[in-house]
Amino acid sequence: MGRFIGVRLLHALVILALVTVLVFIIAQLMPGDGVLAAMAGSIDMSDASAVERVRKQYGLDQPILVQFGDWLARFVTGDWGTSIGGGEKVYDMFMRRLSPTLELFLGATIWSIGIGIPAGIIGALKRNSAVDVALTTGTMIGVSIPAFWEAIMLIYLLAVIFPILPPSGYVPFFEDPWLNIKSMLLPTFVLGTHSAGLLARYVRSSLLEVLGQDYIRTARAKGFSERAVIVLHALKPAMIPVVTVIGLAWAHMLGGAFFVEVIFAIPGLGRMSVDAIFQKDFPVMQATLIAVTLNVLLVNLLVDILYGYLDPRIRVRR
Amino acid sequence: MNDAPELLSVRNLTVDFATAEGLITAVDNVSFDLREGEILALVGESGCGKSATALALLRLIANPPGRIASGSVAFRGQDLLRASEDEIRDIRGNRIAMIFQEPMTSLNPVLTVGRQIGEPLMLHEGLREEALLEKCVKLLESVSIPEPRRRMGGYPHQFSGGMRQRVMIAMGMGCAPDIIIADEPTTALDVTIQAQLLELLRQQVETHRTALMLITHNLGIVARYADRVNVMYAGRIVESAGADDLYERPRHPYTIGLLRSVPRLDQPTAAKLVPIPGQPPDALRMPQGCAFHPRCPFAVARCRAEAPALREVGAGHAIACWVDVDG
Amino acid sequence: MSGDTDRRAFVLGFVAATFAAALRPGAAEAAGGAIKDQPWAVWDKNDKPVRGGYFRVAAEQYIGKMNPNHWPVNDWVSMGYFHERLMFNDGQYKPTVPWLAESVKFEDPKTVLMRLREGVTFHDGSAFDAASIKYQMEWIKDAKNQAWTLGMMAPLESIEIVDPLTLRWKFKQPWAAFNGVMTNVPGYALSAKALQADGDKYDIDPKGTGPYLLEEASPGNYLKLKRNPNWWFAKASGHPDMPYFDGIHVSVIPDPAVRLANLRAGKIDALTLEKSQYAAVRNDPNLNIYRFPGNHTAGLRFNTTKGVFQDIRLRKAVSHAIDRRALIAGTQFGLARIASCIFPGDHWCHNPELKPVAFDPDLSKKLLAEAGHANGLTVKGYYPNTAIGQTVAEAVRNMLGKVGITWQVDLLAPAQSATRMREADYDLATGGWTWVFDPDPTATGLYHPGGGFNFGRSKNDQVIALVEAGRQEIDLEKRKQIYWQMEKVLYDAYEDAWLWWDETVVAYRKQVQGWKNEGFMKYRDAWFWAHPLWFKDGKQ
Repeated sequence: MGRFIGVRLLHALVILALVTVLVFIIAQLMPGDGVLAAMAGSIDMSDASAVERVRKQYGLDQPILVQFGDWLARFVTGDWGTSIGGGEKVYDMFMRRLSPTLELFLGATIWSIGIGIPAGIIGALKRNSAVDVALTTGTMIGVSIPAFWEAIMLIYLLAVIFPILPPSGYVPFFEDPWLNIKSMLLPTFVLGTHSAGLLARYVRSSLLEVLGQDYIRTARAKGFSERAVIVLHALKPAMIPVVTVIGLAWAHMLGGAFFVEVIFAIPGLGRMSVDAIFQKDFPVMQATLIAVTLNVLLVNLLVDILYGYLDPRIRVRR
Repeated sequence: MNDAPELLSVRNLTVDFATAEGLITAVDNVSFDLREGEILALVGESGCGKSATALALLRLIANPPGRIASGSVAFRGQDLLRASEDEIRDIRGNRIAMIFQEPMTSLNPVLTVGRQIGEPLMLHEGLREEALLEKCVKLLESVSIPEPRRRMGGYPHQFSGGMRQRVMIAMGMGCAPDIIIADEPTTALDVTIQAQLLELLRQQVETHRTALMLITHNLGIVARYADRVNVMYAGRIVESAGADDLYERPRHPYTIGLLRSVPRLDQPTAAKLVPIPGQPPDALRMPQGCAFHPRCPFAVARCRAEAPALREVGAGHAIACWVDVDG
Repeated sequence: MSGDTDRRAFVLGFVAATFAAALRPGAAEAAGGAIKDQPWAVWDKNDKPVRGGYFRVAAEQYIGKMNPNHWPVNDWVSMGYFHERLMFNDGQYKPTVPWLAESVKFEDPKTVLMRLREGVTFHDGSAFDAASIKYQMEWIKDAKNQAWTLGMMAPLESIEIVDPLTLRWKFKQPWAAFNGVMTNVPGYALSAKALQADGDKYDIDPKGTGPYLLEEASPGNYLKLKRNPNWWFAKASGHPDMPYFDGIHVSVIPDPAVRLANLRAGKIDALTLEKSQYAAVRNDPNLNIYRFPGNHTAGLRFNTTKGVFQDIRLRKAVSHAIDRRALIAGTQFGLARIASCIFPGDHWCHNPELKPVAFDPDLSKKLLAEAGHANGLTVKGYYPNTAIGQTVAEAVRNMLGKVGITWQVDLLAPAQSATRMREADYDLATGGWTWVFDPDPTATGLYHPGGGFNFGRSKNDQVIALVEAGRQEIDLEKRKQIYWQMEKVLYDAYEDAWLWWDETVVAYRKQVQGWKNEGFMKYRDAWFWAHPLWFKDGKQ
């Protein structure tokens, strides 16, 4: 198992290195001079000295390789540059915005697992019953509903018509735990429902497949109750493909976090990325891209480890 | 003949399966008995309903699509088909154990072998920890698994096919059941291992007076191990007899055909193997009358009109046929 | 400022800032005098404002850098809470209202004598005086401080301190635009002490003179401002309780629908509405809704030097084929005024004699036939690819289609349309202007060969001569006549097809008191800050 994790870790590092280079190259390939494009309309572009000044300030006058070397050296030492947009250190900015996003992800995952797995299990057990049809329809809606619409409807329902929750905003947990939870309920729900629907469908089909396996019949023949059969024999193997889905869902959540953070006005990494893209804020964009990569790699690693735990056949093969 | 106490009495068991195209009667009005220490073989081609019969005894038919339509299964006087969930669960794996075919897929790939063997013991005998461990080790020893203590922590994929089937048998024997139902226990294993495993089962029967219901399509196994044989065709028992009797004097045209189609040690090698012409009937389009008549060389008009019931044609020998062919 | 019709309504309407190239407006003399004698500072005797409560508003984006001379500033509304300018524009966008400056007087076209208000202090306690303004202007002019406003201050030669509250500004050349620049970003007074101590820190820790001072900033999330107890205007105007709110809380809420939800849930007190939201809230009993003209002209730009629209008959045919009333009703939710020319109807340079081009499809067809296009005409162009842009383009395309003009319109992102514009690769494209303050940048930008939005597509010699004359005329009345004349020439030449002048809608919770639409429309920023809002009974 240790060797297995080691190999995976090495893979992850290689990919990270490649992405780092790629991120830098992509930034170079962006049409136009990023900083200048971003500043168009706000500085007098006919003022050559002003343009030159800006280029120099962001090191755009240096050869590309030098720019890359400089950038990488600074990046690994935690100097991620200064945001063009806010004048803040990108590293500080990133760290401050990490916790709302992590909280969002975590909450969304809890919703997603909390709804998706039980719904999937019930759907599989009561296959083709009214309950199953209701759940399948519900999960279909969960998957296909435009999250933007869902968010606005929920805000109007639960913050305007029945003013139970705040419509938007973020309060750190340690500042006001209760308000924090209240304000995170809707965003995490909206972010979670999409993957919950997906998860429910995967759990249902995976569990149905497992329940059709011979070893489940063996377990029944041992005298286990249906519930014991599911808990002791079916869930673990059924979770193997589901773990992948959870991992994928988590990795894709940053995409969802983009708009959930925008809609619910949560100062997290997703919104920071959106702002950075719109403002062509290069240092922030680079940090974001690497963070996205890291997130995906870490999740993949976690999924691999979980796989190893769930499926002994994989553990030995490596 | 066996005059030991009757353990299991199956009467008029009928099992349906709902398919997209219609209702299939997989087991049709099957009746038989099983006594202590008896080895009863249920023989037939695949799809004849023998496995469904075995599963129905413990109500393990997947529902949906399957359904036990009628009949009774009396185990020591208790009707298993009408017992409560708790009662039947108390019998499964405990008084009546099943050993399934396909040891590859019948063991849970993500749980250790030790745990899977231990489960019935935990469940029915409440064994825990040390006692459980010891018992499991003993069980594995009894089925000749080397280094049982170490192997307990292994997973099924780390075992060979034969070893896995030994594990299955050990699992079935754990609670010293009254009846072991072995569904094709040795299919897909090579001959030496088959023999070892069947020997193992026979010992179990002999030492514990366990009744064994052996479900197989392999007539060689039947000839060697079974006391009694029920031959099934298209969901029905078409012939029931003592094993020796059946081999010596098969009376149903299907049994006769079956025996002619396999090589026999007690006949000259020169004897020609004759396959039964035609195909088993489509379960959705069962022929009128006797299900076997389209393939039967002896069929008469009545066979096409009316399905024959099982009737006694000798001591402990019954067939379901209008024509009594004394083969 | 941009020449794009895709206007972002990001202010509550009262902050009039441009972020643009140098302005060169006509000079004005701003008279001095006591605050309470100023017409924009008169109070209604019936109003009894009370202090108390935190005023909660939403911004689309976090303010970014809080030194207005550093880029980017994404929220000019908040900027106006803690920084004040030397001058304000009036309701006709004329830079005539003295604010932190008490009086401004041209001694000659290259010299201005400016007297500052007395008793003004910065939030760090330092004095607002001639020395602080001199330092600030020199700071802007020092390239190492990276002020994007540096170019705007290019004509400034030197500043002489006459006495602690009097400055003499000397220019390299006659600088008629001086007043306009003082109403613009360089005119925000910043603490020289704070700038001197740490120019970069100023971006996150601003020290202005404004009615509110920064209490807490959570980048990307919110700004918390608290009442400035030493606001000079309170003393100067004889209203010591000004400003009336204890503080202001600016939440960043990017999504317009969610901003509205916050308003309706009572979580914020004021909001500039999207046009599409107006109908939904106009009868909301908890809200007061105010509409007033916005400073934006939407239009369609002809390529008059290349292709079919060199022919005035075809330009006319397009302009008469557009049903502007229907366009406003259908795409602007009725919230706009039909435009007759480039300067908005309430702009001092707009010629009030011009009437909107009539909707007359029969005339269009006739003109097309006369020009030899009886069987139809195909032209190409582009329009912004935003949701609203798409709607407008589609509507216009249909209207043109009805008279036989096929408009092959590409919906483009700003970068793409900039390329098309630069290469003059269109017959008919999006046009117009956002933030029309001094008339010259707009006139030059669109109609002068050197303009940043022209690139040779418009070359009307009469207009060009007028544009150049307008730059040099210091007398306001004469300058106005020049632009009225220019508009007349543009109008007669069908140089562009102007569509509408914008309107702005703001919504306040009923609890918020003190908004006077008439006063605001007449004096804009000066009125707004001379009449700070308050909560009824001082309760949020």
